[in-house]
Amino acid sequence: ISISCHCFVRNFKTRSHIVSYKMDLISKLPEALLLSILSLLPAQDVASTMLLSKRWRFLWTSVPRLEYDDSYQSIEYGRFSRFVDRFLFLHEAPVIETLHFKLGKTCGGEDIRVWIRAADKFCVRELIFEIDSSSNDSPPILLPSSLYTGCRMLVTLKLNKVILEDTSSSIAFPSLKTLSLVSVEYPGDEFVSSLLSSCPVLEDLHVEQRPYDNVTIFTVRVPSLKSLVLSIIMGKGFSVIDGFVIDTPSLEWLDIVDYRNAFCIIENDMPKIMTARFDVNYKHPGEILRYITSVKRLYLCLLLTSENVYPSGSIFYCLVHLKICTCMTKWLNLLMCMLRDSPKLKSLKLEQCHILQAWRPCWKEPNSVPECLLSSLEALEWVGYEGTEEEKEVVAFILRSANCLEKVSICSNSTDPCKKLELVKELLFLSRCSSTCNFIFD
Amino acid sequence: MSEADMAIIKPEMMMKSYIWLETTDGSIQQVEQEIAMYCPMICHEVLQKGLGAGSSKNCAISLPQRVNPAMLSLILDYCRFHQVPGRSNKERKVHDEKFIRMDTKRLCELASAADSLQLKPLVDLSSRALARIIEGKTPEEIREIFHLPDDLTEEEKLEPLKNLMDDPRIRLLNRLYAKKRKELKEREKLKGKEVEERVDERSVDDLLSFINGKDHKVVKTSKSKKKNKKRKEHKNKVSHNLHSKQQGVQIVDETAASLGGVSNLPSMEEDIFSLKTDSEDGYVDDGMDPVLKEMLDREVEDFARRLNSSWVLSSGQERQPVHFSINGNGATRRLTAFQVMLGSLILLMVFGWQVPEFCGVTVKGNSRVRISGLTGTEGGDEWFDLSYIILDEASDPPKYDNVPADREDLVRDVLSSTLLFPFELQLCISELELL
Repeated sequence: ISISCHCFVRNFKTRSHIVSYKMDLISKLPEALLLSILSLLPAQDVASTMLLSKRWRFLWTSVPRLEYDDSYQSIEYGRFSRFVDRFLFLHEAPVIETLHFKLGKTCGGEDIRVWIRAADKFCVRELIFEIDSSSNDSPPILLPSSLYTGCRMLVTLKLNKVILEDTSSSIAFPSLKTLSLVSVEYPGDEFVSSLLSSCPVLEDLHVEQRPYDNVTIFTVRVPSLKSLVLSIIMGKGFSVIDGFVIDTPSLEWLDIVDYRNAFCIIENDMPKIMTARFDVNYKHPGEILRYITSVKRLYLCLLLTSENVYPSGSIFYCLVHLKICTCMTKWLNLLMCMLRDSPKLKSLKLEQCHILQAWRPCWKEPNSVPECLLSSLEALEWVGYEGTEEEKEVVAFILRSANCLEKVSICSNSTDPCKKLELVKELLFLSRCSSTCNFIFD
Repeated sequence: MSEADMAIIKPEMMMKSYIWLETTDGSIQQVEQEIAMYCPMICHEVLQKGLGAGSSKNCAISLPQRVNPAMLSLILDYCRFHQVPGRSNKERKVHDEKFIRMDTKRLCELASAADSLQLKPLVDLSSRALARIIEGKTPEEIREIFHLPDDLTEEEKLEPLKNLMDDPRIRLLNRLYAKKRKELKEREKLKGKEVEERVDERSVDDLLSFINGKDHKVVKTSKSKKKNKKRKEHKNKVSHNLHSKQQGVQIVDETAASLGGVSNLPSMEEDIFSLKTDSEDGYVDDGMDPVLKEMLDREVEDFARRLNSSWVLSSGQERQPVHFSINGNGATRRLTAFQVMLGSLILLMVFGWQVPEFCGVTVKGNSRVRISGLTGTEGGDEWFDLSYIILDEASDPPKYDNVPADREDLVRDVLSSTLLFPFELQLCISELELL
């Protein structure tokens, strides 16, 4: 970028600056827009805009969203912490919306204490602490207990790789709606319970547990919760007595990814559930499916050890979209059971989400055609189709039974065009019950 | 906008319905209705003004001033792509990335135009693009790219704080420094004739030449200030001098730097003593000339402010030492008072200790520090005095004794915190005593 020098306009101010004829357009943007542009920058860059020109001199003090990254431009930690302190001190906006701390180097607990206090003063709505533990010499960062009692205006709290401190005083997050706990170490099980029960309006909870986080049974007992995402970062350190207890009657979105040999207990019916996703290795998946019979969209990848997935009698009356992962040995059983028990199913998607298990199932013609195939199934989609025996049989079965089928879309994994052609030929020759069926092959 | 509304507006004649838009330069163009309605502002106008708005050349919808024809066509291209419902997210993203590649001038105009048309997705897209341009660049580079006028004076560039002069803490600091000066003066009387011998004539001349006021004298990299006549008289030659002596040692804010600078300072102290012994008559007393007092106060303010305020301006660069110019036109009287000022302030730094970090310097070593401060509580401001000795500054937390029990928490807070918040603890140094 070079300054255009070939045309000057003399500035008749006393300072006699020579100004290029090119106009300064960015400073003419409305202040709200400039602030939102500055909100996208890391804090060090925001602060350095104060040197740009008169227009920008104090603009930085009103930026509503601040991101402090101590690895940005490799600033030494002492300077970084002083920078953050003074930045917060000089900030003029009455309210800061978001404070985002990305810390990786040696971080003093005192610093965090002060910053949390600052967050409280500025009525911060969203507070994010993200610790980068990729370098070995960074010690784990302990968040002080002032976080629980101090920040009453917080709406969103996201913690990543921190250690939470125990506290005897009561925890209170009266405005907290979104909570994200990723790779967090807790003082213990009771702490988790008391933390979650002190969030009266919590709607969104995202938890990623890691090994050795001092929690055996993660209890989620939140009456206001609408969305729950639980996942486990795999590794050693989990035991068979680990698991979840979920009691969230208002839940609308449930997503569990758990490959441990653990358990999950749902204590209450979830009548409002809309979408659920289970990618789990639980021994009795039927126990959880029983509580989500009102679900509309369902994604399942279950490790099955017995024929019956769930106690029969659980009919999914509202289920419209079903997605099943084809990696497991007994996925066919699951599919047939689900088809049988979902009378209103409109869309079925089969996807190979994980590496296929070695043992493939055998196709067994069912006794009766499931009702959904006869009356409601409109779309079939298969991602990762390989053309194995049982896969062909499934497609054949569906094609010849589904009356209302409108769209079939099959995506193959293979890159070999001959193989693809083969698959297409096989599929096209299958007899189709529905006359209006569109076939898409990729 | 609902489908019903759009249907009503559709003129019967044409298969496709058009809306007429007029930009501020008077040019009118015809645009397909679906595309134009993608912009909330146009949609709002059409619906608000009812039927017929924009349906012919005569009653074209006038667009906000910030939308020029070139930008309008860009925006319409954007709308044309995005208003088609069948596109996948990936397609839209790919299109956007290509679309947003343009020079910064057009990007600014686009952001402005999209903002006035309230087309939020495009505003976000262009804001992100502008942020990407600004990110990671030095101010000079940014000024080049965006053609920003370099209209900040040197003084403004170095003083990120505004209105600190009005800050009650600074006035407090002034008073405290005044007391301090007095006490130091008394100590100097006791201290030493022996120190006098180590006068360095050359450096005294140096100082005197500054004091005698070469206007806009530039020392090393400092530039002259032109503004702010109120503070014109003696800008802190203190720091100026220090700067010249210390070759860029950063006396403010950086503990390590201060430590490094300490070794240079003893030479300074000799100068100071020599100056001080000359300065009997100009000595700042309680009954001193109010004008003088005011000037000194201002100097102290300044010094304190610089101590407090000069911090990381850009993380990548070496911090520039604070620059001051001299618009000196000091009378002799001022000269001597100034010298005292100089001396006393230097002494703050000297002798191997500094003042706690919250004021820009740190206390180390066996020093007794007396802190008096102002703390705001709900009921009002309250003065208190703390007196304590730091026994071991290296320990964490630092050990101190002789603190009244109810103040211990405050002291601990102060020592461990590098931050001043309004209405919490506001401390300034009142006196420093040597053991």
